[in-house]
Amino acid sequence: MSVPTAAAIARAVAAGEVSARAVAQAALERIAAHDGRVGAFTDVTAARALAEAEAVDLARASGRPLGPLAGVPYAVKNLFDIARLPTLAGSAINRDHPPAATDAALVARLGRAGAVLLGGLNMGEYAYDFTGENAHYGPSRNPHDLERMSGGSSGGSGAAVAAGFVPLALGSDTNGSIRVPSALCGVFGLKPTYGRLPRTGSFPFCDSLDHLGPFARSAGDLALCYDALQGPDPHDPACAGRPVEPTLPELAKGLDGLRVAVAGGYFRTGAQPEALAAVDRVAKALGADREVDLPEAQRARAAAFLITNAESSAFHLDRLRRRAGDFDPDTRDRFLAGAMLPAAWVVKAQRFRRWYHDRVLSLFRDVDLILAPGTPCPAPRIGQKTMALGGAEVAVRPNLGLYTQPISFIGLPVAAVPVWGLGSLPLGVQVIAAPWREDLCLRAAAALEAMGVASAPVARL
Amino acid sequence: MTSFDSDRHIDALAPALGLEIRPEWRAGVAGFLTVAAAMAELVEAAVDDSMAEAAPVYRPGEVAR
Repeated sequence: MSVPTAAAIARAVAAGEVSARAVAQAALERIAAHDGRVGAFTDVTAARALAEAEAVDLARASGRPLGPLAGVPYAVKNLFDIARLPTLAGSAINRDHPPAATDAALVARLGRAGAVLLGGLNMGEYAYDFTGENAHYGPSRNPHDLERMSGGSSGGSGAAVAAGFVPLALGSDTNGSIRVPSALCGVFGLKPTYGRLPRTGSFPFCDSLDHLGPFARSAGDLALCYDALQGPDPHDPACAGRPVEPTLPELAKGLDGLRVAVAGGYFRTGAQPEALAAVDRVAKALGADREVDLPEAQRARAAAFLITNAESSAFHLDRLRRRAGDFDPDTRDRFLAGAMLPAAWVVKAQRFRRWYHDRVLSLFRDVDLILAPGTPCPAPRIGQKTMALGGAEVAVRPNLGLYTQPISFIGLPVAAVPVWGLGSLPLGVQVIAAPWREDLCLRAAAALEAMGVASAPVARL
Repeated sequence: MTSFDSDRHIDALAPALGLEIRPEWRAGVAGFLTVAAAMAELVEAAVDDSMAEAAPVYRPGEVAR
């Protein structure tokens, strides 16, 4: 089916070809018709959406300038504050929190750009998840096969975009939570550099590793949204305070001069053949002419595991003391274990992080982009606990992030690009750049889309 | 690294931290601690005294006037 991109909607609204209200109404109707089977949304903010859309229409009728996302529907993972709703972060416990007083910083920025918020999206509890499953709210299902996982923890974000409910969604990524659902749901995702986008007004998972970013069905929409999200914010100490560095004008540069390599070693080990075939297809299209080795990637994953486990559990310590029985069983035991990690394990992991950062950054003297699988496999079945990887039967839950974790560990920007035609389900490829070079990731994603190598078709529901 | 006994670790740490580990949760918690110990062993093997600087760097601010 044909569902317009964000860019097409913004153009049509600005030209007066369609009203923002009609766009919002159509999106709300599609959600009402199909989301009962998908489970992407936990809250649909219909009244707010229509009010925001009418404000866009009024602005146009009054001749006032419209933002770059005028009338574009979007939704956010429910760890973003939405004024007048409790910020669930996928938990039952947070339902008891008072409603948020104001919107998260990035929600406010999209609102100022003219976008229209349709609601909060399902996610794995407290973001400790790669599956999209949730014991409290049900799983967010993969729109391309409703019996399969959406991926997590931003499962509702991937599902809402793949289902054509919204052209844009926001999610978070600590160890892979944008890139895994992008891969399994067959959509584009951007995990920017750590510190690029402010986390102000979002419920934390692990402050040392938390990133926020957009999902879309085209690289152009990803850039359009990301450009509206950029800018410093003094309320997030990790936010680097860099000025807006627009990426949309960069996309037209294409591949000219980009040096592309494939990540070898760890990133070619253990994946199912179709995941590596997806990387190879992208590598060929981008003219990748070399392989690079990210040194000690397995230890990087281990260090990311330890920092995540300890830091997130310390954040939740009071909830673990008072209400451990109210956690999702799939996160509770991990949080309880994390609360008891020896401090030296975590401090050494942070020292290793510095070493690994310096080694990996030196690779970017000779290459601009590095390619790696998004996940080691296409979407597993909902409820599936183990899978075959590298000749062994391993747990699904941690291993979906096998290839994403060593990259976010040092905050590198990544565009997740969807590749089809290697089976009935999509696969994702990570297009990785040096810090602050989101523009290069997005240029490559746009070029792959133009070549027909990457695409994000709307699911038939 | 010395051998890690997750059950003894839970018995020592859970009460000290005020955490209740119900019997039906214990195997899961112990399992995740065992995984973490294996991860820590991997990291410890790579970290030496030349790697003293942790990734996070604290920078004091300036007084706003």
